[in-house]
Amino acid sequence: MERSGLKKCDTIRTIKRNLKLKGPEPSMVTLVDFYLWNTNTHGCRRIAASKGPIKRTLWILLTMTAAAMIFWECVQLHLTYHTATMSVTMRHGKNEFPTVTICNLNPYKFNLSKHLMKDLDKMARCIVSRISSGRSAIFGENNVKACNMEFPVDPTPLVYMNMTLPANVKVMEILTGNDYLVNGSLLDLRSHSNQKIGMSDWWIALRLCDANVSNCIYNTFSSAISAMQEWYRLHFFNIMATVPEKDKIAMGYSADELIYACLYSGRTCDARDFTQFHHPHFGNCFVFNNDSSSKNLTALIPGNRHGLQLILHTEQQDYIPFFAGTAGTRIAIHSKYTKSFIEDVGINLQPATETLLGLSVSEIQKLGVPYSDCTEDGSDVPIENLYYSSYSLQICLQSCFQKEILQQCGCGHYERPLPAGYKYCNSQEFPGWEYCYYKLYSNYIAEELNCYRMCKQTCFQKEYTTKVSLAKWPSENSKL
Amino acid sequence: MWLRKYMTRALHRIQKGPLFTTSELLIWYCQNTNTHGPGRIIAGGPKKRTAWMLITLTVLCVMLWQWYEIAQEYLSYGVTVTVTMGFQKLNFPAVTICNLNPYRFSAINKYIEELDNYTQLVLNGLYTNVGRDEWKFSHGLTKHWEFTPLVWIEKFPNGFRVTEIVSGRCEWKNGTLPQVVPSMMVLQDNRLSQEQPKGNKKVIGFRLCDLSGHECLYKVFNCAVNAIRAWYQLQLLDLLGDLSQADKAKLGYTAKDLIHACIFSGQICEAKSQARNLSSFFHPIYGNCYTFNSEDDDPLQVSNPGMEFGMSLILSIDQHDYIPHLMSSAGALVMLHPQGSYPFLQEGGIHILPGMETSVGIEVEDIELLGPPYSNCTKDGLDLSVPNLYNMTYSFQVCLSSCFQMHMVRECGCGYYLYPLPPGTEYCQKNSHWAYCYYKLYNRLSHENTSCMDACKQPCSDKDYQMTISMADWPSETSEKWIFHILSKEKNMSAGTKINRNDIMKLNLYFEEFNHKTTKESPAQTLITLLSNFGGLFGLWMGGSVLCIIEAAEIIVDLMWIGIIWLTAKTKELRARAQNHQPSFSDAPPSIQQLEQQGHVNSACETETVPGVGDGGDPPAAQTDEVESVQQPIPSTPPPKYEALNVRCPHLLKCDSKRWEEFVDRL
Repeated sequence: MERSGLKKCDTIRTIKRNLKLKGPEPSMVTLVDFYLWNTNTHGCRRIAASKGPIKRTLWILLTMTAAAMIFWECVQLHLTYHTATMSVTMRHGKNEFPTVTICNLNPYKFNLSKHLMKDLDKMARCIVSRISSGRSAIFGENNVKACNMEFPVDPTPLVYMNMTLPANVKVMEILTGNDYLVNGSLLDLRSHSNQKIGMSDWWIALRLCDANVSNCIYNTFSSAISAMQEWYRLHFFNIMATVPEKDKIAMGYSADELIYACLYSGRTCDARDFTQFHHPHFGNCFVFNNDSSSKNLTALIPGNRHGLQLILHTEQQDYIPFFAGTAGTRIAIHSKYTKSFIEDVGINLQPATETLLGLSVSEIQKLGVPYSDCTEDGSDVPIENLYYSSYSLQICLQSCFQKEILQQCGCGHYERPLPAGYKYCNSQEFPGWEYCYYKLYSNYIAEELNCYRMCKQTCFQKEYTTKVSLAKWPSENSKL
Repeated sequence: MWLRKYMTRALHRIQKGPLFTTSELLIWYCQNTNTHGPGRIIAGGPKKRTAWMLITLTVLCVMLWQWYEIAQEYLSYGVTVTVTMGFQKLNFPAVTICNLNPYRFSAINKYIEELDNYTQLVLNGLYTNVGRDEWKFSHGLTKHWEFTPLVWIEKFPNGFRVTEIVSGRCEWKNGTLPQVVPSMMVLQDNRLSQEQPKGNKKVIGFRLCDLSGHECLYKVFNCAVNAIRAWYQLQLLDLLGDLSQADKAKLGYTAKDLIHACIFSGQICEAKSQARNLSSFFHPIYGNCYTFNSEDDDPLQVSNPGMEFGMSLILSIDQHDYIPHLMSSAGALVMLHPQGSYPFLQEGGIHILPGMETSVGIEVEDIELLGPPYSNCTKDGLDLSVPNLYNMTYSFQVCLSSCFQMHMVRECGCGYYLYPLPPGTEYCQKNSHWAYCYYKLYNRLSHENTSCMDACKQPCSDKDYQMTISMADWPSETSEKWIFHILSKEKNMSAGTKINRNDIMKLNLYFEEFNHKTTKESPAQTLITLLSNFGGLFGLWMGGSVLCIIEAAEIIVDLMWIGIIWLTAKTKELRARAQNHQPSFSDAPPSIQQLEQQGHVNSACETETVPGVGDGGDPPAAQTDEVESVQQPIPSTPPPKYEALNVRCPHLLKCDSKRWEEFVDRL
C-alpha cells in the first residue's frame, strides 16, 4: 500500500518535473503534508518534522490539545465579555449642594380648613367615642353625646366584622349601628387570609363598595387607630379633590410660617430662596436650591457650619387631629432636576430637637444595554411622564399607575398628578371609585400591574446618603 | 508487544552508543523550531551567530523574569472588589422586636420580692449606714445573693480594703486585686489615687467566689448604677434558674401586648399568609422576642421603595410594668437580620423611643468574598473545629459564641445562659459560683485573645442592613386624645389607668430609594489571564507558543537520551578497558564521525520505524542526501549533516524530497 503510494508519488513527481509544474500535488495526503510543512501554525509543522510514530502521535495529540485549549479560553473570554466592571472613586471635592424639600407633616391649618371637614370631624368623633365605649353601646340607644345628630350617608363606612361563622359573617356599621350578614365564602377580604375566618374576634374593617353596592371589599385592620386613619384619609381626599388648588395653598403654611430662620454657609436666606409646591399629603412644601434658581450652590468645605441651617416651626396646636397623627416636619434631600417622593423617602424631623444630617453623595453611572437594563432619559419607555420632572423609576411607576386608574375608574387619584381633561376622584361625582381604586391598588402593591415590566431604572443615579444625629434643642438655659 | 519491541530497540541503541551528537540535535532543533530566535542563531556567519545567540539568550532571560513576576502576582491571589448599587427586588429582612424589659413586674414580683428588699438595703447602705444593723440581726447568710456581695473597694498604697456594703464586713487584700478584665484599667491607671483629692476614693464592685469561697474575683465599676444593674441581673438569673423557659416566657410580654398593630405594604401582617406569622423565641436578657418574616424558604419581597411598601408597627411597652432595679432604660429593641440567622440583639439591635414615630430606611449591603485561596473565609462553618450550636446560618458571632460555650462547658461543667447548649449539658444556675468560673474563663480568653478568634473565620457571604433612622413626635398634640382613647379601649385597660405617650411608639421600616449595595470580590487574575499574559509575553519576545515550550522539552529529553546512551557506552568501555584492556564490543568504540556516518548509512527508518516500511523509504532518502551534499545552499541554511532529517515516514519523505527538488530547481 505504502509502496504503491510512493510509486504513485514518484510518478507524479516525474510528471510534474517534466511539465515544470509547481504547487502541491493533487492528492489528499500530499495536500495535508504541504500544509503541515508550510503553515505558520506552530504545532502542525512539528507533526511533519517529528521522527518516529510515537513522537508524531504525541505531536498530533499536543496540537489537538492546544487547539482545544484555545477553544476553551475563547469560550471563557466570551462568557465574561458582557460583564461590566465597576470603578469606584471616592473623593472630597466641590460638590453641588443638593436640593432640599421641606414640608410640615400637617397639610393645612386646622383653623382655616375645619369648615370643610365639619361633618367629617363629627363623624370621626362619634366613631371614636363608639369604639372606646365598646361594641355594646352601638346596639343600645345612641346615647353617646358625640353622636347626637344626623350624619350624611357614608359610602365607605368603618365596620366591625365577626367571623365566628364563616358562612354568616356579621357586619356592623360603627357609625349607624346597622348590621347585616354576609356569606363568608363570597366575602372579598383584602388583607385577610382565609385561614383567619373562623376566629372569634371582632375585626375592624373599611368597607369599600362599587357604585350599586353589589360588590364590596372589606379592608381589615388589626388596630382601630390604623383603621381610623385610613378611613379619615379616604374621606379627607374625597373632600380635598373638589377644593381648588388656590384655596388649598391658602389654607396651608406659608414659607415664612414654616421656615423661621435660614442660614446657608453663614449667609442668611429667607422665603425667597425657596420655591413652593403643593403636595397632596403635606400641603405646601418648600424647595431650597432647585433648578429654577439661577445660581448653582456648591459646598466646598465639609462640616456643619458650611451647610444649610434651618429653624422650622411646626405649629402643632393647629394640626388636623385625625389626619396628622405624627408631629414634626419632613425633609427630603435629592439631586437637582429630579423629583423627590418625599412621602416615600423623606426623613422626619422631630420638634424641639436639633437634627444634624451628614450627607455623602454617590453617583452611579450604568453602561446601559446590553450591560444593564436601564434607560438614559426615559424616552424609550412607553409611559407618559405626568410629572414636570426628569425621568426616574418612581415617576414612571406612579405615572403608569395613575394611567391605569384613569382607564379603569374614570378619574385620577388625588395623590398623583392629573393629566389634562380628567378630574380627581371623589365620591360625589364618581360613586364607588374607592372600590375600583383599592382593587387596582392591591394589584399595584402586589406588583401584578404591567407597569413593573415597562418601567426601567435610569442609567445615571445620584444618591444622597444621610447620617442622622439628634440633640435636645433648645437647651435648658437658652429656653429663656 | 509493541512496547517490548521498542524497549529492545532502545537497549540495542544503548549498546551501540548515540546515533548522533548533541550539536547535531541542537542544530536540528534550531532549524525546525517554531520559536523565532534559535533559527537565526545558525543562519549567519560567526559574528551574527554570536550576536543572535546573545540576543536570544537575553530575550529569553527577560521573558523568564517577566513570567516570574506574573506568576508571583497570580500566586498572591489578589482580588479586585466591585461595588454595585441600585434598586432591585429584595427580600424584606426578618424583623425581631423585643421589649427592653424581659418580665412584667406584676408577674415576677412574687419571685423577686426578697431580692428587691435586699437591693433596697444595698441602696440605703450605699452612702449611709442606715439598715445595716437591722440586717445583721434579722438575717443569716442564707440567700445566695449574699455570696456575691456588692462591695466598696478602697485603694491604699500597700493594698485594698474591701467593705461589704450591706453587712459592713471588712477585708484587707495585699498586693493587687484579682479583677474581671474590662474594668481592670480602673484600678491600674491610678484613677483611684487621682480621684482622692475630690474625696471620692472608693469604687463599687461585686465579689465573685468559687465554691470554697477562698478564691475570689472582683468585678469593678466606676458608677454605682451600672454595678447594681449588673449585680441585679446576675441575681435575677439565678433566681429564675429553676423555671423552665416556657414558664419564663409566661412572665414576659405576649405578642399582642407588644405589637399592637402591624401593617405590611398596606395589609395587616397576619394576612401575609399564616406561614409568615410572627415567630417567637425567648431571649435570656430581653425575654419574649418576636420575629416577623423569619421564614427562610418564603420571605416577603419588596420591589418598591417607601413606606407604602414597607412595614408599619404600633408597639406598646407598658412602662409601668418594668422591673425597677433591672431596667433603667425604656423602649423597644428592634433588629433587622437575614432570614435564617440568629438575631444577636445585644450586638445589632437598635432602641426605639416611646412617644415617637421612628422611621427606619433600610439599605442592604451584601458582601461576597471569594473564599480560599483568595480570602480567609468559610462558606458554612462546617470546615471549622467549632460546632455551630445555633442550628442557624453561620456567622462570625455564631462561631465566637459557640466557641465560648464549648470552653465554658469544658471548664465550668455548665453552659453560659446567653448561648445555646451543646447536647447533654445544662445551663449554669444557682449560687452564682458559676459566675466566678465564667469570669475567670472570660479573663483568660480575652487575655489569650487567640483561641476563639483563631478558630473562627468570617463567613464568605454576609449581609448587613444599613439603617437611616429619623424620628418625629407621635401622637401629635391634637391627635393624642383620640389615639389614647382608642388604644386604652383596645388594650382593655381599667377606667383609671390610661395609656400615655411613654407606653406607645410607632415604627416604620421600609427600603430606601437605593436599597442594595453589593461588594463582591473577584480574582484580580484568573488562570486565563495568567495564561494570556504568559502567551502575550512569549509572543512579544520570542514569537512562541505553548507548543514551542514542548519542542524545547522534547529536545531536552532527546539530549538526555543521547547523554544516557553516551554514558553507558563510556562506562562499559572504561570497565572493559580496566578489566582486560579489550573492548567488550567487537567493534572499536564509535567516534562521533563514525557514528555520524553510521547514522547516514543506517537510515532512521530502519531503527525507529517499522523496518519493512523504512526499507522502502531508503532510496529516495539517499537520493536527497546526495542532492543535499552537492547543492548545499550556503550560507542561509546549512544542511543537517545527520540522518534525522531523512527520518520520515515514507509518505512524508517523498514530499520532503519533492520540496528539496523544488528547492534545487529554484537554484
